Amino acid sequence: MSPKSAGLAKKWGWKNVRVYVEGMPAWKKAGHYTVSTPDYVRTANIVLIDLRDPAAVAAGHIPRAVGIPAGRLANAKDAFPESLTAPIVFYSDNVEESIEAIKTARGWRYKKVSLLEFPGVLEWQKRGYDIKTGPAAKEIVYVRKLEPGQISIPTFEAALKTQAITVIDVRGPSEYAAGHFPGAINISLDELPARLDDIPHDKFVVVHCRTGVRGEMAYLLLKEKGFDVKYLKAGCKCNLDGTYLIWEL
Amino acid sequence: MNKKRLVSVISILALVVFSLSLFPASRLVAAEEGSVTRIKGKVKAVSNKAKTLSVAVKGKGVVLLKFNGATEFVNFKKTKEIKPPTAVVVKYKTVGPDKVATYIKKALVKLPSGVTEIKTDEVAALVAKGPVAGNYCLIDARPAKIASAAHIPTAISIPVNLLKEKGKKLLPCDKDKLVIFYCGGPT
Repeated sequence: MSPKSAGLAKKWGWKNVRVYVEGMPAWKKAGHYTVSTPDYVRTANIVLIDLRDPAAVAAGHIPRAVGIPAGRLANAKDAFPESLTAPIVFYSDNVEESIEAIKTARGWRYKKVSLLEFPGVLEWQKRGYDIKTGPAAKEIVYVRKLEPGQISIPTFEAALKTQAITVIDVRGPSEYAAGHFPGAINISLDELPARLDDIPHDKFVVVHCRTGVRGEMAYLLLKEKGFDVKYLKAGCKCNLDGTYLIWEL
Repeated sequence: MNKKRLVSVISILALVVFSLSLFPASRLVAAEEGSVTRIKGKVKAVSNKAKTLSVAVKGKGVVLLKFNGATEFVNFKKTKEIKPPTAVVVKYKTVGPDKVATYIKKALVKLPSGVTEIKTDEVAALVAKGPVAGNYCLIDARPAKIASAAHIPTAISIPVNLLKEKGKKLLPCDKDKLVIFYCGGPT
């Protein structure tokens, strides 16, 4: 994308054009912070944290922000969502403490942590956005939005218990042998194209693996072949005694 | 139409039908089985355990491909170097129900002539100064929705497609100023 834009700028006569080829992944890897636009903060499915002290928060905060004063953040890990892909946005009047908050949340292995593009609620108001007075919400409520083809963990667990679905375990045979979901059929992803006839058509099909990477590939293939199918995008650990653990990634 | 011409048209048609009959459908299928197909797209997912990768191809959807010890890797050694959404060129053979990659090439970034690369530390030093003191203009070329979620501080969002469509009036600074473009990495 960026080399193309740079080529256009050069063609149009801009003299000093450069490309940051390594781009966003390298920027984050080097530990630098990123920022989010106010529109994103207003509308996206995120966790929004106001880092200021409760008095400042009560005087006016961004609607749906959760108040966690910067000084208490380090001890508030348990309040944050299970899903490490949950986008978290911090804001405060103080840039240093915001940057510190980013480091803390990244240290907890959250992958999408950023700051509001500008510090402070004053600027937010100046741009014509609403604020809310009184105490902010105390609890973080985050529900991951399912991507096309994904089944939620609770739905999957309920369907597993009632045997309402056909579960296809697309992991390798040795992974399957070390423990699998009750009733799951093992067809590893690499065998799947040749073994479509082994999948019963009478029930809804759910494919899974250990993390959802192979599961998603299997889902795409089966969907193309006309199956009613979803996949589980979650961490799974199945034991030999039939017990299992599923968690948000 | 005169009679002679009609006869010659019919005889040509007959010849075409006859020669087609020499290539039965089964031969065409066999040719497809052994032949190599070349696709260009972006990696969607890679699984080393299942030796499978999926590639999103424009207008074609997602193609599921197997790879093995005989697959030739070009511009990379390990599959972790082609994390999504790396752009790749893949040649594959259709073997039964499978598409087996014989060749996977990681596309390398080619900068237009007169355009130079800038590294993270230099960008970070400029961003710390800010666009005025640093005398630069930083542009996020990714789609607006992605840029709005997380971008480099001080960057302005101008998606590459919008720039192509609307032209140079979108570029916010004058022609002598340093303009830096970035996106989601070398893909």
